[in-house]
Amino acid sequence: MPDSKKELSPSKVLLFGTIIKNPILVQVIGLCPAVAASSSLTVALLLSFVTTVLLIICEVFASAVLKPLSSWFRVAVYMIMGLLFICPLMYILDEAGFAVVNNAGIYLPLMAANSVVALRCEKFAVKRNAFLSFYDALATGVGVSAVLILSGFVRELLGSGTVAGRAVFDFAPLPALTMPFGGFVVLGFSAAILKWFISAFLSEYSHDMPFKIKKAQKRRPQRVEEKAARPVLTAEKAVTPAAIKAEASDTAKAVIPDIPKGRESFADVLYNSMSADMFTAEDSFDDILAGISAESGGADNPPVTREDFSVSTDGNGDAPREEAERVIIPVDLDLVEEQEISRAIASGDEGGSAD
Amino acid sequence: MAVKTVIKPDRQERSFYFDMLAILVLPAVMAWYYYGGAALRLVAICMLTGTLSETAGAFFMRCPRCLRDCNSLFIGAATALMLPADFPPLAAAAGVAFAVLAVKMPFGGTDFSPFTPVAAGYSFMCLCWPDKIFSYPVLDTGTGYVKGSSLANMLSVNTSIRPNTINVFDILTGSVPGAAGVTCIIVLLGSAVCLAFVRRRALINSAGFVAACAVMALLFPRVYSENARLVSLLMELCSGLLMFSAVFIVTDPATSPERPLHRFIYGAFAGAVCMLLRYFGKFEEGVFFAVLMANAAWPPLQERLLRREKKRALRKKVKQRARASSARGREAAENA
Repeated sequence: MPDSKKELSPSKVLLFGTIIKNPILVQVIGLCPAVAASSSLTVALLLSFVTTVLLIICEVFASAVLKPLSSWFRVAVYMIMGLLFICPLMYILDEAGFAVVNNAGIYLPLMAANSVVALRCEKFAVKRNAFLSFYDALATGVGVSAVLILSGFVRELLGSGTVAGRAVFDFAPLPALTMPFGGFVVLGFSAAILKWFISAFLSEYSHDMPFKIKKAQKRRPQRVEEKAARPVLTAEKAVTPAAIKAEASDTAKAVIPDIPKGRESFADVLYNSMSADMFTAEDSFDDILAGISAESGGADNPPVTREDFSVSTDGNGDAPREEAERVIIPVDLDLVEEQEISRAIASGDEGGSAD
Repeated sequence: MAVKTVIKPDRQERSFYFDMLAILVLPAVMAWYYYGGAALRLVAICMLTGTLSETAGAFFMRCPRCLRDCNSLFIGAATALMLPADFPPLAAAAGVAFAVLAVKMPFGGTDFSPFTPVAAGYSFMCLCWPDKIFSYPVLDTGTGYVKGSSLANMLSVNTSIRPNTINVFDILTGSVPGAAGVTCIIVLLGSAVCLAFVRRRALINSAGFVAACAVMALLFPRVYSENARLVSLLMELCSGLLMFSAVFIVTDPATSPERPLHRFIYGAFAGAVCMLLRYFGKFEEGVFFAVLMANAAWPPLQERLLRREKKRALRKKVKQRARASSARGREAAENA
């Protein structure tokens, strides 16, 4: 969502919920129906309808009624509301003889426990009024629906050669796309296209995406002639914003880009590509800063400001941000580990089976 | 704390994939010998598709295009040689395009991909057209192709192979139904020897892979004969894509570890998974899935191995220091 609660407007809520923070392609939540179930257009349409209606009901109800309750109880209420909506719907569709209920399989009843609904209610609806919650639910529903319908259309067309059950090709061009594997491939490319779209046409919002995509690292780093000395912040050093700033300003430009990093696992690359604020998207940087400032105080603890976290300022708004992404605080784990082992040996805890 | 690193300059200027492509000429010749121009046509189509896909991917995804390293050509040639000679060219092209456009380019190119593109492309084709990819033509049937039963298929049926079912000489020379360029074991062994001359380190992966497969074949034979274990060893190693993968797929430098021991473990892990997939999998061949699983599982495994090795070295160092200090203390006490 936008950086500050004051800036929230219905249009921004719509834009953010639909595109900038698309639940499936950007926040990577609610993948189960998108990957496993939306292998045909009709199922995707049904799931989209259910998700959107459920989101609107739950978010508006949560915003209007559930604010005083504790969070663990609210999550149970969302599930009960989902069941209250989906059970009659399934019954009606089943009685009417729609085969799409069978095609959706277990994923239609599972929508009662949809993670998108619970997350949006907890992250947004219980903190805002019912009006904005309605807009957010609508935007999130449209975002989810767009992805589900696109995925269902592409997968059905290429996987089965049909669109909504009507034959388009005489053969199935790529039958594997109807499998969950095909869902992941389609979603991956859709996410890449969305990222390109935001960078190209909505560049002013590209920094508001919940995570930054880092440049991939070479699996086998090239051997270079000389590696620069790598400064290390040891455990003894006090880690203050000023120290981080000093360390970063010295090393960010000159040293860190030149050091070929060791081989990272794919999971590491994926994890590193997501910043922590992906999971606390609603807490803006200023909110966090305000919280830290409230805790600090007195001569020993001066209030922390935004400038304490900036690396360098050259007048350009983008440059410090890009630089800050490259800042790494290496900690000498070997030294710490060696000290721990030394202490253990000195205290006699080290067993004889070390080797 | 400065990090001192001893760095050896790269002596090999030539691309790894250029060498592999040169070695692939041997299986390609055998494919032409057994299946005629159809096999070579498939190879040419796949190589062309690989090159075009890389060019298109570099244009649309803004990745660096590097045709000089011959990686896309290698992907095309290796994929084509793993297919039956009568495999539809369009489907083969789709598999190569998937390998380049969905597995190689989005991650940044040859050195960045976490998965082996050839294995991914073959898996894609396997999931899309399982009936065609495991339908091998019989040799010497005159005009047209007749479906034959491959060694891997016979092994998967469990009770098909009996004494004297197949001549060993036929197996070694590749006179059995199978993919175009993978059946002739003698040629594949020759390729391994060539690889040993140009890229010796890469063969460590192959050694681990073949060793694990051999152990599994000996322990759990799927044939019924007098010398079941030995026959099982021969059949398992010579069937399917196993030997071809050991030489050309498992040795992929982009996904291989650096250290020799790690390379061996990586290969052994892939081999063990491959045999498990053969025993319990849906398809008669599981090498490509095994390689992909090894690609996915290896980085965290390597991290643990490295951490463990580091801890051992540290403990050793600390113990040596403690011993030295205690010896000095004893000497001082004796002197006193």
